[in-house]
Amino acid sequence: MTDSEHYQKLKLELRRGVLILAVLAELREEHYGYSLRKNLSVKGLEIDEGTLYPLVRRLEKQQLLVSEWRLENNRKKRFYCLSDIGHQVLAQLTEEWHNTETTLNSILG
Amino acid sequence: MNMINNYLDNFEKHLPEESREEIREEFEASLLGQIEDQESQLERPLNEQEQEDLLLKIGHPMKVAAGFLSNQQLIGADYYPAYKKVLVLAFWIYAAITILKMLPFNISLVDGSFITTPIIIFWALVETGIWVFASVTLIFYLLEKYQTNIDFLYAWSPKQLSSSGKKLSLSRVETGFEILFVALFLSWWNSLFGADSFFAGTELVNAIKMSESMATMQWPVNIVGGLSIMVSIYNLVNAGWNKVSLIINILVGAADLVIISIMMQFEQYAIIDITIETNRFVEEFASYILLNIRITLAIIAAFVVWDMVSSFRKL
Repeated sequence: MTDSEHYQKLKLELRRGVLILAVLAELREEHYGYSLRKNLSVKGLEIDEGTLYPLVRRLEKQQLLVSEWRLENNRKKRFYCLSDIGHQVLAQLTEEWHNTETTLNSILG
Repeated sequence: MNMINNYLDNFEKHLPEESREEIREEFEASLLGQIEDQESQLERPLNEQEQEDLLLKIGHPMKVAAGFLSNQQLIGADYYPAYKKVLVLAFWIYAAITILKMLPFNISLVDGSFITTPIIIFWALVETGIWVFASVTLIFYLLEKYQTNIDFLYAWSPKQLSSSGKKLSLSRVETGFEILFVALFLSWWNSLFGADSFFAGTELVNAIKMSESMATMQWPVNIVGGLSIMVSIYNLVNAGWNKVSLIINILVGAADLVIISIMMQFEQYAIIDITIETNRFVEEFASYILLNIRITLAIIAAFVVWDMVSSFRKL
């Protein structure tokens, strides 16, 4: 494995944990699959379809999200947003993120 | 849009049946949303090449669909350590049973199966290995699928952890070969007394027999050899030596030396019936018995002494 391949693999691992936080935060506003992906991408977080869509369904199964099918531009779309539990978990995870960030910054120097 | 529909059909085919339609519909809406977005930027419909590029970027439909499946691995991280341990133990236990089952004296000097027997045993072990691997993997897959509690397999106490220092460590390969070696030796040993299997169907059937003094040693050797195999299996299961297995190993070694010293004093190992017309093979066999048996015994004795000293130093 080359240095670049190592880096790409570790980068993916590093990002995996924060994806959930990013998705939950973005779904404070209602989105359907593509609009969520696009918004994350505009903000600098590229996620491929094969990762994002199953993740959103899993979060809904865990009752962190709620969804609703609606007709938009003559097409049925499933819109997701945070549930009450999702809001609470997001607040906790955000706090944890800030703690981790502070800790890591002091370690990284 | 034909290419897009084909992609979606293929994607749907790989989805879990219970939510196939729903996921397809949702994915389709997102995919078409993405296409519309690109088309509005280009102010024209996507051409075939652009559609192909888009689909290639999304990835193989089977791979994308796999993300929606609940279980992506045969054995997950929680179950894997227990799975690996059970797999290794099951293999060694079944390997030992396979070898012991094959002991029915199937070595014959006539058909040259000194060469074929190890090959037969090797393939029997490969077959056993495949069956054990398949069975244990299936069991653990089902345990994980139905989230069966396997905490009892991880039950432990710091006080009960066995010492696994270098002094008491065990080479599994070495122990495996030891089991194989002893099993092959017992197979050969018993074949010496099975005149029928040596010369079945020939006029030599009654020409060569082991002496009476040798015959008295047949079962003592089998018992000591069997004990030696049992100690090795016990060590494999425990993944190392302990005081009990070391003491038993030294005692088995002592019994080996007693048997060897008795056998060294025999004046006759085999009886050749000279009233039966013999041929060159019988003469060669008799010479093989008489000339080599003491050398073989001496080599085995040296090995036993080395094994006993090694066990004693570990105590």
